[in-house]
Amino acid sequence: MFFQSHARTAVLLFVLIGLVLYAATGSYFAREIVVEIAILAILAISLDVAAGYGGMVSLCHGAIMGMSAYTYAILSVKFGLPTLPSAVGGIAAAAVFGTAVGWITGRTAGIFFIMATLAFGQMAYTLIFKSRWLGGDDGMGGLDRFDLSWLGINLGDSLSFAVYTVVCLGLVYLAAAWVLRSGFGRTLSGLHSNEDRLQALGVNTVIHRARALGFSGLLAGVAGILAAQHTLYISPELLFWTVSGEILIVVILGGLGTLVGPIVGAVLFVMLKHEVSEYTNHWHMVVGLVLIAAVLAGGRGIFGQIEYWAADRRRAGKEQSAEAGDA
Amino acid sequence: MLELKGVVSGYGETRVLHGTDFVVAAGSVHALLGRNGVGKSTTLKTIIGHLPLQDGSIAFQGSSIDRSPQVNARRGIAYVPETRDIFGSLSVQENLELAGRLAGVNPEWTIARVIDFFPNLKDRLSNGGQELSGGEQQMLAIGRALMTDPKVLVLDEPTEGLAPIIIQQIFAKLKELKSGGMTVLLVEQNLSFALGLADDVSLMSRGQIAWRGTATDLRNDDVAHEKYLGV
Repeated sequence: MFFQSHARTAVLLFVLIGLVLYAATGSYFAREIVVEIAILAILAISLDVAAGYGGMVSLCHGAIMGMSAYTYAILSVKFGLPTLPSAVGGIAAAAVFGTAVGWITGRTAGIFFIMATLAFGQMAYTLIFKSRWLGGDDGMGGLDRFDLSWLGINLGDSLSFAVYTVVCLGLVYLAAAWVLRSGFGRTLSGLHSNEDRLQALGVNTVIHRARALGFSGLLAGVAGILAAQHTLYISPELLFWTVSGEILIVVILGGLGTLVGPIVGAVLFVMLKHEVSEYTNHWHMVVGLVLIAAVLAGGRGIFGQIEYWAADRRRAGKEQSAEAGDA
Repeated sequence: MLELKGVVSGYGETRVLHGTDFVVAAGSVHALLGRNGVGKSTTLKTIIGHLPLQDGSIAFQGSSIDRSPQVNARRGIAYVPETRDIFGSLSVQENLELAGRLAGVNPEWTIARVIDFFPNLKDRLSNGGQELSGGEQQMLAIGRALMTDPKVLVLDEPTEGLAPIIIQQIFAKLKELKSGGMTVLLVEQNLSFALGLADDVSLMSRGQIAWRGTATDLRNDDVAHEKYLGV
């Protein structure tokens, strides 16, 4: 079950404020990095809800995000809708897609679930890749960002846009934390630890899996809108399975089932990518080595491992003071 | 309340039950006994729907049980597995709340009543499921089953691996449930525990019921003892 410790709040605020400061003091390039981190972190939180809490390791979160981005593009470019309802439509499409995948794969588990989500993701990718109406592999352009001039904010400005994505990241975190702390979050934990037992307590696990992936899809949908608004151009690459794989790497790197870990993972992943690629093109190899180290160290991820150490030290401290009390 | 007729079931191709029949009367405690590997746990898993019924019938309150454990649970069959299966990532309170979501508007069993019933759990409410002792886990597993407001409680070896003093406590609690009118189907290796609680007894051998009678009958039947329970 999710709990918001002081350490988590502290790390969350530290990262969010750090990102805003980095964007505010940095160059255009720094702001691009902040946007990239924020979008990846939202996706990683979305996957953490499904995989870390619900035990559903999905390889279609890239596709879910892409569905949102494409729906946003279709509604605003093809049908000429204003940006806000288009964004709502995009997020809803992602939630519906997630729910559908969860519903259909509701009785599969483990490797079969992973393969099924991979298949759904690739189906969505192929569908869009082959669609002439959607521009095929050329993608779609002509997108707009929100018009927030009534708030005195110009999202066309790189700093404002970077701050806006960080605010969205904060809101997504709050939404995920709120849902995971509800009764639904408990059911999700139960689903993860023993699905049979949950069924024997009368819980319809298929519906809950569908709901979980639907909510996770909704969060991924937010990332899709931001991705579309970021580049103002979208291509089927967004839906390709390697994007989903990258999200999974970020979650595992940061710490599965910690919600803050995925944000830490996203920061690390994007930073490593940009720093290392200044020296070599093989930045994937460096990320791979870090990932292997993180997995071999116990699979808790970087943030998860730090939490584990802290808990260990607290326990040791308690025992010591208990011994002192005895003496 | 629960009636099994010619039940055939097992794991995939391997059949374990070859025509099991017995009836659990409402308000009684029915003990299902026998040596290891005769099909006791398989019988329970088939009743709740974890294993598919390959032949025969199982009726609960006059109508056939469902293929889905979830539907059977909603109809009032609560199962406490041998492994207890506490949700380790949830606290004691959360384990109970999760099960309680199923109960109706005016549940008979609330968290307060479960804690009243198992006072050991009171100080452990905020503890994680993984931090409990075996006895506390068993109490929580039974408490969690009660939170679904069951009509029949299906228990698989509730005393397994527990200290004698804890076994006594659990015994007293099940006795209390029984006098409250709860129907119980009990699989148990601990003979004195089972006979102390049970009204009726079925002895299983090779996937079938080989002997049936009351607990008193069994106490006086040395032959059945020797043949189906002795080692």
